[in-house]
Amino acid sequence: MSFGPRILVIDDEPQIRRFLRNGLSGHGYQILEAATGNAGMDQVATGKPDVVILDLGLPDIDGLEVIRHLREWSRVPIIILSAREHEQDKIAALDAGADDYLTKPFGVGELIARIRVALRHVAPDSEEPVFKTGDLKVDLARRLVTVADQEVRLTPTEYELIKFLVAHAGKVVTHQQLLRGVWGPEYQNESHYVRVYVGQLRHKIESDPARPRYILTEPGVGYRLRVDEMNEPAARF
Amino acid sequence: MEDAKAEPRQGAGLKPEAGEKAPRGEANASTRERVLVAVNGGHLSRRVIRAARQMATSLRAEWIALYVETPGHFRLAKPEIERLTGAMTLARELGARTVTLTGHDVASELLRYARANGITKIVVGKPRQGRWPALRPRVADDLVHQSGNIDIYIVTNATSRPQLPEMSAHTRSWMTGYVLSLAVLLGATLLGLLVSPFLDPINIALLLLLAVVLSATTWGLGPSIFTSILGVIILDALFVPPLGLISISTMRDFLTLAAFLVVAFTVSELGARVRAEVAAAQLRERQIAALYALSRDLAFTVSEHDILDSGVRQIDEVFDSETHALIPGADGRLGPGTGIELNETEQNAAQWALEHGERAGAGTSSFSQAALTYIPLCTSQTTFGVLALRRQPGSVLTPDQSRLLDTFGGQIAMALEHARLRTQAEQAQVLEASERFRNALLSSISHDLRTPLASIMGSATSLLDQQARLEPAARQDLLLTIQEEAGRLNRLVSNLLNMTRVESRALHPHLELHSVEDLVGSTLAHPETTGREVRLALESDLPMVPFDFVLMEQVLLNLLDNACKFSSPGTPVEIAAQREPSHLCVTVSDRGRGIPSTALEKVFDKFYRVPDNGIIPGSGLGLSICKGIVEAHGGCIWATAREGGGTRITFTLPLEGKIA
Repeated sequence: MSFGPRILVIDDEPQIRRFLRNGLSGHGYQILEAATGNAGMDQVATGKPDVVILDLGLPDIDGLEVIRHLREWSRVPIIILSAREHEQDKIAALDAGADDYLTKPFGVGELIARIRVALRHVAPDSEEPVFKTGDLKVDLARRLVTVADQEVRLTPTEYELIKFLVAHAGKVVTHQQLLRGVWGPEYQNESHYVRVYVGQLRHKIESDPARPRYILTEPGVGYRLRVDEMNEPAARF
Repeated sequence: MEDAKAEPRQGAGLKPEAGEKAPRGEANASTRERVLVAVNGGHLSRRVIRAARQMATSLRAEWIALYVETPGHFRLAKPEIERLTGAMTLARELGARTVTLTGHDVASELLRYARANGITKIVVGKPRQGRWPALRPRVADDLVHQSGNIDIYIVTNATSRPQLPEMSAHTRSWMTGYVLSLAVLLGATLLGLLVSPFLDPINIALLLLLAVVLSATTWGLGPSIFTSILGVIILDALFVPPLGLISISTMRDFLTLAAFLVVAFTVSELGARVRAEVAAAQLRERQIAALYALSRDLAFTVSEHDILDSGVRQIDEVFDSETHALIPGADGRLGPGTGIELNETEQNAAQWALEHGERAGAGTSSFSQAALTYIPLCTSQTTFGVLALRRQPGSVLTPDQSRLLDTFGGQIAMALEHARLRTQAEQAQVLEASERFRNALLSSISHDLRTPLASIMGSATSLLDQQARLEPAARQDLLLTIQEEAGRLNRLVSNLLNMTRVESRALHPHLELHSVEDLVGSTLAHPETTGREVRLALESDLPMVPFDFVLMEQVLLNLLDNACKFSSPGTPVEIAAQREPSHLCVTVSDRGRGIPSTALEKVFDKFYRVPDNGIIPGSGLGLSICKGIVEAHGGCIWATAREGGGTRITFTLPLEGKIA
């Protein structure tokens, strides 16, 4: 069997578990399965997975509750699966402590990318002061941002913004998380601030701000800073 | 009681017609209306005030009642002063601010005040001219000439509102007829005396006959008989020899006098009859005019409630009464009407009228001890209720008036029936449209979902087929097919979901300020469009606009999908965005086969596909979903043909958020 990181899949749909089992094991991951929320929570305690994939539409318990319970005692990365057009659910889950999300139907490539990012954030190999993706380089030690080795002048707020995105590189960050992280909790409801500044940031670091390569929009949810190990904007249906 | 005719006379031009595809937007706050009503001691004041209040309410404007005290104020008669005070009190009660100014010229004072206080509309009364045209110009006319940018609304007393006379013809005291006939006869006698030297008695007789005719046609049978007898006596005494004596000496004279008397009586009889016919004809004419006014009024009212209101008002005007409508509840029993207390007798009378479809109550043969009269509102099909009429105690309806009242009741009932049938017809139409949509949806689901499923099934089974020997390229192709068709299925499901939401108006856009650049970027990240050249022409410094990001992404995705589907792979697709004064304008253009001009509007209909293009797959839903979403944001969407070939779809988003 495979000896890679352990993934726990909590989903009541047997077909989803089936394709995840087959798809993920091909990449060397070990798969654990649970069909209900309660069974899933038990498995987290006993099986000690490295990543949890949780479907929000479980029959016995609300996915949000599962996240809250788990977060009381575990820091395990949680990736949620949800149907399209339920952005509020995704935001609620992310705010409750989930790390990332996938919209059904999704391709397995997207999932792999999310899993890799989640694992990376759990065990950073070293305190890398320099973040690189594509032509973008952010040197946190020297507070220097360059694109294709050309320095980019950022305002203090813009720098804080990119710093926050780098800290969560590859993961989705909601508007509220950005606001809380960069501006402070009092600004939680001013989502348009975020969009204005992201727009400005894009104009400075993207070669084509209308076709961003680094700061990607997650519609209705927030933003994601691309990392090299992610695929190109993955097959979104 | 709004029955006055308001003729709007505009100082400035009318509001411009909405231009092609003008976007919906909010009214500019700085063009708030303010209404001014000119009050005086005339009869029309109360009506004018009510008309002004109606206007102010519908415009959500504040309104001011203004009286200009001229030097003539101190010469006003008491009734006029009372009317003026009553009118100002009424205005205050209805919510107006009351102002009194002094001045010489009413119109100039009004306009000066209006201009200084931002008044946009002035309501003024103008009573219909009497027999003699006004020697001085009226205030209303002056206002109209000098108003400039302020709109003037003139309220007149409508002439087609006849008052039926209370009793029949004789309103004047019976004495007047006799006295005046005598006066005319004496006048004719004097004239006769003047000309008698030159004429025969028979000629004088004709002169006196004229007096008889006049008396008959103007004052009726009684006075004319009186005139005839008196006339013959005068003729005998003054014109037939022997003069000075009432005696008949010759046969000829006897015949003259006899002939005179006969003719006089005949003329009296005929004249009186003519008079009666004329009075009857006038009465009939007034009744018909009343009915016409009623049916014309009812023709413009749509709701059952308004019809009853209008009918009640008309009846009160014509019959000088106070009427209330009583509607039966679900159990068929009349409930207590609004604003009217009914004791048991009254209730019974009303119920009887309702059930038997006949008048009951005061002045009728059923329940005549009741205080009110009850007129049923019924047609051959349905009974709607009963009208309770209260008149002055002691006043009685003539048979003519009773018949007219019944007719009024019948007309109102018919109008109610029409309104009810119209509502039912509308509901049936809505149901039918809903039915048609459901059927179209089902057939679309059936076909458009099954097609990709067929491809998936076919590809998967081919891959599983043990007996087939597939080349790696073929295998890869089949797998790709499965992936693509699954994607198509997913998009179709999304479209169908959105379509049902738009259709059932369950679309509630969650508006937040977003950047259009962000929207375009996010949409372009979808795989449908990769592989096609998409040129962007986004104006720099576009403002953030309120919209629902996920919904608008659907719109842009559908438009891009169409543009790519309907044009060849080598041709560019363009997205442009620019700022207009009140909205943002976004266009998606292609260099494809284009849409025929006849179909430019139809393409936004549900399930519409441009004819003879069976090659390109699709459900015909994309554009109608776009339309539903854009319009739910308060914007517009339309298609135009491009010079040089191709199609351009344009949609607008208001700069200020407005949920339609």
